[in-house]
Amino acid sequence: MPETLTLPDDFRRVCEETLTRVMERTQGAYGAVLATIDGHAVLSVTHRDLPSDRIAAMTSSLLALGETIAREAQQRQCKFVIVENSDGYVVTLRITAKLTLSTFSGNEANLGMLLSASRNAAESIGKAIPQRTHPK
Amino acid sequence: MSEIKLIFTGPPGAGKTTAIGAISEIPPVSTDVDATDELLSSKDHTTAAMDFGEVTLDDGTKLRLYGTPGQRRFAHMWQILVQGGLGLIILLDNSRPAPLDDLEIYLDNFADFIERTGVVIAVTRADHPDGPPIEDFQDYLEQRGLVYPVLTADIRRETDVLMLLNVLLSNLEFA
Repeated sequence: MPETLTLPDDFRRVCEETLTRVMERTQGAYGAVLATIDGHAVLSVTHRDLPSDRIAAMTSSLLALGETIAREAQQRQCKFVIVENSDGYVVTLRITAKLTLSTFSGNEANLGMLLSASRNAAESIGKAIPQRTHPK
Repeated sequence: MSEIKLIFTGPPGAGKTTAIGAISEIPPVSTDVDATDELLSSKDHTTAAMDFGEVTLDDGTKLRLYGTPGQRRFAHMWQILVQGGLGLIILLDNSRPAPLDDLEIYLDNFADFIERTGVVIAVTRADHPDGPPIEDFQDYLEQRGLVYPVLTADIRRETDVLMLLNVLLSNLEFA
């Protein structure tokens, strides 16, 4: 984890509680990874053995491509990317300019529920970010 | 009209985005994101997925130029971007702490691709007082039993970047 984003204890606790809540309240959810926009894993809560470091880097690439595609399509600010697979979903959202959240579920999950739970979690984490860890 | 895909790689800050931007005929596509780590000491942004640009040669051949992210954590993009590629340009920044170690990383990680295609190694900021002389790069390759072109370049200059492409294409032609 980059030194610039070492989490204060209070904020870390909020993040852990928020990610745990997503997992508990979303049927089929099995992982949530908080990462920096440039691909460093910050914190993860998972029910499976997920390579959170690799996932953090990959979701960074994904969001960066989303942002680039938006620009090429004369749109702006990619908010989230959904990867729908034969046996599950990956939702990656931008929380702030520097933080992202990715959630993972099996296909028994309702995509709408997973997306809304992920968005609510991102909003909660975004509001709880101490100013000194998030220089805009 | 034929098309050739070439890939620029190298450590963060070596100038991959700059090189493609210096020669591309279309507005270069970039996927820069805010840097949050030690890279902040030298630049605010970093490439998270790829750069892209295009150049058309005199004979009508279109070169599609892809730049990789530099950091090893983005190696998943390295594997994706080399697919269908015909050659590699490794940019090395001679002001970094260990440019020869950087070279080793990219030679090793792109070894299969280089074996199938071709490579040119370009040293930027070549006259940096703390960097090794160009001969050290050639010696290093020789020690590994490799024979690849090593050149110095100012990748902000269109002529220098085009020169790298010409050397790479010439090498591919005679491979």
